[in-house]
Amino acid sequence: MQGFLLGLANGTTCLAFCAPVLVPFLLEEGKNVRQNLMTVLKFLGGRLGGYMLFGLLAWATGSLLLRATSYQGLVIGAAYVGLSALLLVAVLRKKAPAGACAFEGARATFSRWPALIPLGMGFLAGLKVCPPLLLAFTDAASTGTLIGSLFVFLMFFVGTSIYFIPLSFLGAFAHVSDLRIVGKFAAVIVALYYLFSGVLLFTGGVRL
Amino acid sequence: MTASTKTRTGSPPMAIWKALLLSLPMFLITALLPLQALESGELSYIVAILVMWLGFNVAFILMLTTGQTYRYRSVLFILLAVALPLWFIPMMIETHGSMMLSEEAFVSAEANFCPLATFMVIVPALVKRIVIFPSALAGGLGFATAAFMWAGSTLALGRGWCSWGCLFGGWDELFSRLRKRAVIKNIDRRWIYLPFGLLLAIVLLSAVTLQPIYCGWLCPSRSSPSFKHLRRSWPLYRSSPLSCCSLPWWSCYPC
Repeated sequence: MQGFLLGLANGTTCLAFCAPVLVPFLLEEGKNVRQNLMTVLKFLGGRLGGYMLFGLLAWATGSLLLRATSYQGLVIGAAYVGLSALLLVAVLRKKAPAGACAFEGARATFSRWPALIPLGMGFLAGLKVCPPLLLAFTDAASTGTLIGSLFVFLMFFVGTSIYFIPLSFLGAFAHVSDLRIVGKFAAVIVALYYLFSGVLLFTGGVRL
Repeated sequence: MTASTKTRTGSPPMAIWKALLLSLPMFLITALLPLQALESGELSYIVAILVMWLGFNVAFILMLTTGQTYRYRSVLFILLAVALPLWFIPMMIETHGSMMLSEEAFVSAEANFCPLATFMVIVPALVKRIVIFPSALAGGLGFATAAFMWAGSTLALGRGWCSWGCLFGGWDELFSRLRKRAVIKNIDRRWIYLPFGLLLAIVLLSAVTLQPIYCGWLCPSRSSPSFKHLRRSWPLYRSSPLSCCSLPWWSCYPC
């Protein structure tokens, strides 16, 4: 219950962390409310995967992981770079020029499993270590059991996920085709920001 | 006479005595500037003010006598835009030791008030008596001065500001005059949505970082406080030449 309340109290922070990725992506996709809800659920599924990984680590390492601050930079940096790559692929895959090798493989993979993009983005966004997540991590580590640790993160996930559902209503504007272009531009800018921040974090250049 | 010919030729030329007579009130009112400068006793300052005073007044007389308003307006406009960073950057360095504000200046609210932020800050200042900016309420380039300048220039100049005073417009003017014809033609119409995409990205990223992303990463005037980590993360951009190079781009897109 504590994990759920923690999630409920800090869900807006999680939404703020994920919105830069999710909002441009949903706008760019230009789907209706129902389809958007499915995309959000896939994204949340990815996030759940990230949280379960944290739950596992909290059980396995206790609070040791929280002290390894240098590794946090590596993990978040790598997650940012991955997030940026996924966002760029998501936006540019439909218009990739013929023979663009980097996109050929990605395009084939993602057209076979289109759910991979929101799932992957959700997973990578879930790896972002934010203050509420650290609190959940401490709670999970203090349970001492694997089931208890995973349960804390599961409830934390449920508490935070409530705030994501309204994003589906962006689909109400799906008929405004111009918004797709706006979403595409925003996605590229956000992707570049994450790429820049990710590289800096990964190389230990700066703490963002 | 067609509309295009009228624009190109400007107003009909005026006799010199008429132009001098018409310029006299402006000549006398603006003479307050060099008179004030004389009191300072600094030779370089006096010379600079005198040159500026004469330059503006001579340009005005030339506009009247030749009818070529656009030509002289353009020269003044470009000169202002180019000269502003030359004044602003040393002023920042002299006042704060660098183009960026130190954390001490930030905490002690010694920043010059950002003219772009004035309007947004007025409402919480009036309603909650909180100025959301690390700047003094009064004195120097504080909130009161910025608000007064903003309201005054809006009422007195209106859109005239954009073609006579705005430094971003001046840089636009300079670059648009470098060649007679556009180098890049047939630009995809979708690029007109870039400012909206940029706005959306700025809003979302500001929400994540809880920092003024626009002020830290995009604003070329650098009148807002800079944050320590941004200073570390993008030192090249934040140096003056690159910052100045971003001006034409800035006026096209985020402005």
